[in-house]
Amino acid sequence: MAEEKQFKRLESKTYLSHHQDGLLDVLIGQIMLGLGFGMASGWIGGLAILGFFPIALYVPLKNRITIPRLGYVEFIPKASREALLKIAYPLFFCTCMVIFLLVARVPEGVTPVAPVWTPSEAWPAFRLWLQGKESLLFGLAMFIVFGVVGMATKIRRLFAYALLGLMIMVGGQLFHLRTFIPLFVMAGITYAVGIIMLIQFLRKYPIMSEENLIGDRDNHASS
Amino acid sequence: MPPADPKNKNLQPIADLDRALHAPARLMILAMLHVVENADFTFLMRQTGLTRGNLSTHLSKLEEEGYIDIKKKFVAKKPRTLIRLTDGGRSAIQTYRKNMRQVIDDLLE
Repeated sequence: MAEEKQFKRLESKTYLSHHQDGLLDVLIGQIMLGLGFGMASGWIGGLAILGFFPIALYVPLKNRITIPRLGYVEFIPKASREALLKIAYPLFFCTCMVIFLLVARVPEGVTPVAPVWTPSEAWPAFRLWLQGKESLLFGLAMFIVFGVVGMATKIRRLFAYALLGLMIMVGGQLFHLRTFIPLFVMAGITYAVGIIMLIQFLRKYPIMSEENLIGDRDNHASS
Repeated sequence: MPPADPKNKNLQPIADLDRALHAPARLMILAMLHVVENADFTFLMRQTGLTRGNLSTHLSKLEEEGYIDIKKKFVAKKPRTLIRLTDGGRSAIQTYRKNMRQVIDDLLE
């Protein structure tokens, strides 16, 4: 049993080491930035382009940055992880879209940069009530989505983002800030964490040059 | 090297240990492959800290024993060597664990 636990620990550490490149954090920061930009400008295209397009870049970036440095690995599929991730992505997308569609509006004093989405006139009282709690809703959505992805991947900093996101958004609600301001704060934090991690990762794992490989062979031959 | 034949039968479990596995480097490689579906050469090098030449030698030995399966394929026109633990390798680890536990238990008695 002790050995099984050690193998599980080894698996978990190996899995986590593949997510220490900061790409996930940069991606989260970009999504937050896109959401904030979409809300600030009232341009739904901003949300789509800046917020969701980077998701498509995650795998190519992983292939370009992480795999050449850390190597390629396929983990044994885990039913619980797969199931949670299958829930997390649609949950995240639907939550963002529902909140955006329900509460989005052009903020006062902001000139839209592109076609403006006009909220439907359905359930005006409910929509007004939701609009009053916009930041809180975003905070709760962040908490749930980060929590679910954190549980699926066991990446601890996602739990920290869940709590931080909730706290920042609740703070925004309490101080009556426009929703995009705490979103930009959250984007700045995750971006900063991601960039720092990415720099550390690039320094720790340089791409093996041909000279290194020849050196390794020579060392081996002489030993 | 031929297997040892100890005169003291209490030492037999030690003599029975699988020599292909009883090397820290090879044990590290197999332990790593035990927890993943498959991995490439760079990944194993990073995780185990072995040099390219060293890793290559140990992989050849493990492949010879039938404990791992090495396949080369091309991804985006670049070669990728994928290494996977075979069923034989998996059961060899289990046997090694059992024997090693036996050895330690006997020594502590």
